[in-house]
Amino acid sequence: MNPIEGLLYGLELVFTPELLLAAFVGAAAGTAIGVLPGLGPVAGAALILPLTFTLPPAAGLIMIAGVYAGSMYGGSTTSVLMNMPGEAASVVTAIDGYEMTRKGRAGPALSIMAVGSFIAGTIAIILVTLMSPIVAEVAFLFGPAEYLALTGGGLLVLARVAGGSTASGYFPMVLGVLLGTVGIEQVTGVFRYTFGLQELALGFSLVPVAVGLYGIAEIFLIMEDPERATRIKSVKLRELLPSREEWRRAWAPWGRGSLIGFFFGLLPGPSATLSSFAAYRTEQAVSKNRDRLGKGAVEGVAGPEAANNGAAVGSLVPLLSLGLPFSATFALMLAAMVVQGIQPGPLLIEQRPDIFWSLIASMYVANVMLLILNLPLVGVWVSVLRIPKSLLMPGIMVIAVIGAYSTRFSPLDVWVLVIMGALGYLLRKLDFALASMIVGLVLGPFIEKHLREGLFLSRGDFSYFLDSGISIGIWSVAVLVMLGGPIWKLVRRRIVGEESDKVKLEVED
Amino acid sequence: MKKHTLRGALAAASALALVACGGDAGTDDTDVAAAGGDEARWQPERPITYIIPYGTGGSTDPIGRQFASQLEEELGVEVVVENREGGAATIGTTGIVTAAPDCYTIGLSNDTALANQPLLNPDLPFQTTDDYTSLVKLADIPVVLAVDADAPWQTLEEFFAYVEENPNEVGYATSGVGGTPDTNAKLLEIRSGLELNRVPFSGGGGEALTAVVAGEVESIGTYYPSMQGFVDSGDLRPLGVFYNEEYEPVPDLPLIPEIYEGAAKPSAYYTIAPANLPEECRDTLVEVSREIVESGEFRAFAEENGYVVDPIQLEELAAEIDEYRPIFEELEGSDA
Repeated sequence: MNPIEGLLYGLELVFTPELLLAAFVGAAAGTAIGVLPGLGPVAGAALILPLTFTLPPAAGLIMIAGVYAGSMYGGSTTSVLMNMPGEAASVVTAIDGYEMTRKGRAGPALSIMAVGSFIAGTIAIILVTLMSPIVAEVAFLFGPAEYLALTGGGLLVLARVAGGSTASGYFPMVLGVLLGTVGIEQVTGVFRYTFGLQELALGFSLVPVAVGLYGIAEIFLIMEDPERATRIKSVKLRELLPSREEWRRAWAPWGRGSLIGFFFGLLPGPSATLSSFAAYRTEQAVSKNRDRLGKGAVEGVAGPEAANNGAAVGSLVPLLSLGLPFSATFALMLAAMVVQGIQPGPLLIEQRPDIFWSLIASMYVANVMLLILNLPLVGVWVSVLRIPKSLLMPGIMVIAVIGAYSTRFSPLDVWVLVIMGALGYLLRKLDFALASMIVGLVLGPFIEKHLREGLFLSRGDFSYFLDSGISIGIWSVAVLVMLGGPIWKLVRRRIVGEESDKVKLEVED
Repeated sequence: MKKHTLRGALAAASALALVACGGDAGTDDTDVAAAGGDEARWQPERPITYIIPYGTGGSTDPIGRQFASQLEEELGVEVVVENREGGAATIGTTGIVTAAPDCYTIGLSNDTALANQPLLNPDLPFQTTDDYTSLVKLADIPVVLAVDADAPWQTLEEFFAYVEENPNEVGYATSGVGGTPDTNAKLLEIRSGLELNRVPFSGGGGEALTAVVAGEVESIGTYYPSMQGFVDSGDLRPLGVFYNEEYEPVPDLPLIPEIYEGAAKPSAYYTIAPANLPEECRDTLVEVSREIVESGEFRAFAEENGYVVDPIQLEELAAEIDEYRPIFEELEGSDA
């Protein structure tokens, strides 16, 4: 069976009323789950998982796929509307998404997201279908050294994601990395910086930190300056859809984001988050409208949203072709398969082509469902902004507290939420980039883990980390991106100083 | 099939509703099925909570859920599975042990939580086997030692011979320090004097497997079901098993403790309850748990997932947990 036949075969299996219903229920449930802060893709899939045990295998897997895609989308919706990322993969979307909302362009931002997710899903599924056997092995090229390069180099590059001065990016990044060291140390089980608080043993959970830094701090800012909040008087269809120019500007970032997402999806780790940051950083580097990023640019929404969805689909490759779940959600999917008596692994495609292809087709169907479900809902979401501030702000506060508490039923997380809210307010007043702090918190533990693994492997020999072409390559790119900009500026200033006008024209061209 | 999907859809919707209002799952779910069994049996009047000290979808979750769903059938009341993960299963186990001793809260635990963790943390409320009721042992699962298919060693003897001549050179990938695969290797080192370079891959999710298949590390210790796909595809070669008797999924595999005595410490899963249960419900739970583990359905589940069923109960089970303690003490004390 060639890939095209396979996909058609899968679609044939999936196009039954039962499975379409399962996809719809999954996508709807996922969107609702994603909109609530604190409940992201993992929590959503975990909630649904026990239900799938009673369903036929394909229906269960499709439902989880729907929940996954839906909650990714739902999480970004709150990023855009309220500057409150529901999960880490939606953090960068908040940067430009919320600025668009403040300019009254919430509807277009959500439409761009919905269509972008769909397009990224489509591109990634095509890549999965055609390239699965070839790229499956990519994971085997990566050992601890390469992962350290990817996460460590990535951290240095991505910390500058929100632009601004060097310090405004790296200071919050260091704070984030420090927060990430709290809790049980992964290798030896030592309690680090928990100060006797049992609840801190699991470390800082991302949700209260992100929701506090963004959502709660935003409420403080609005309290200080009521004019800051957007209040939409009426929701006209014309204002919900992107303008022709906005569509045009979205295409290239969608494409770039999809490819970046797909590539990151092939690797373990926080691929959706990492890819959304990387996509934003890419837009900063290559987009024609890079100057507008951070001020409500379509590119800043289109790229990251395409990337996190591309990563979601890309992660199917290692799951299906190797039986290795590279994310918590896919670990749950794997669990669903195992309970159903399906053993994923290198032989799945030969032994159970029906499962393999219907799962791929189901990701596709879930994406279509999501588009059908969410485009009409854009108006509903935007209408949320019509709620008077005096009701909306307390409402957001309540939802944020419930969200923080419900991730692991710990009152400590509510305190974390409030403290992070205050910290977020302070950092924003001082013009620090909050996204860098999230990157630090997400990547810090991975960097430590890969460093430790590598040192175990090489018995303490640091040269191991620069022993492969891939890791040298990644580190070089990171250093180039980090130092390239400042050095180029320096060089340019010197040249400009010597023979001013001629060169200046060239550079600006 | 349609019925199933619809039921799932409804259940999903209601689950969402519950989540949305932050409510307590199952509070208004009172459709208790008709009672079955003989009359001397205790008949629960409300749902029973079954705590699983690991996350939903983890490798340990399914065996707990299998037991819980059969318990539901046997007792005719709803059995609500609650996943309370974290703290190397001590958080969930604490939840079981400190619950009211009324037979309405029981749950899953394992040998490391019950025999090892109390040594590390004297504050845990389960220091000895008297602190809980050892209802039934569900199963053992042994660790299998495998090497990358491209590695030169064809047999266990060749592998051990090489390790003996080259101490601390051959890498052995595990799911983390203190996990059962790591514990088995450490036990092997103590018993044999061999030295492996144990590499803990803390992330789970098959990272240790990836490292071995990629040739990054030479050998691995893990449970058979997770490596089976790579064994079938010819990427991994199992060499031996850390188990005292023939391991059914791979019957011809050499037993490592036959070469180095005592080098075997399988993972073991138990259903436990708080101590001092009322006699009537305790007797029923003891009886029902044995019936479940001995049932054809449970055995079929175990066989498919690489478990070895071993339905010992009460004193016999407590004795097994007590026997594991000195082994863990020895492991803690050694600096291998």
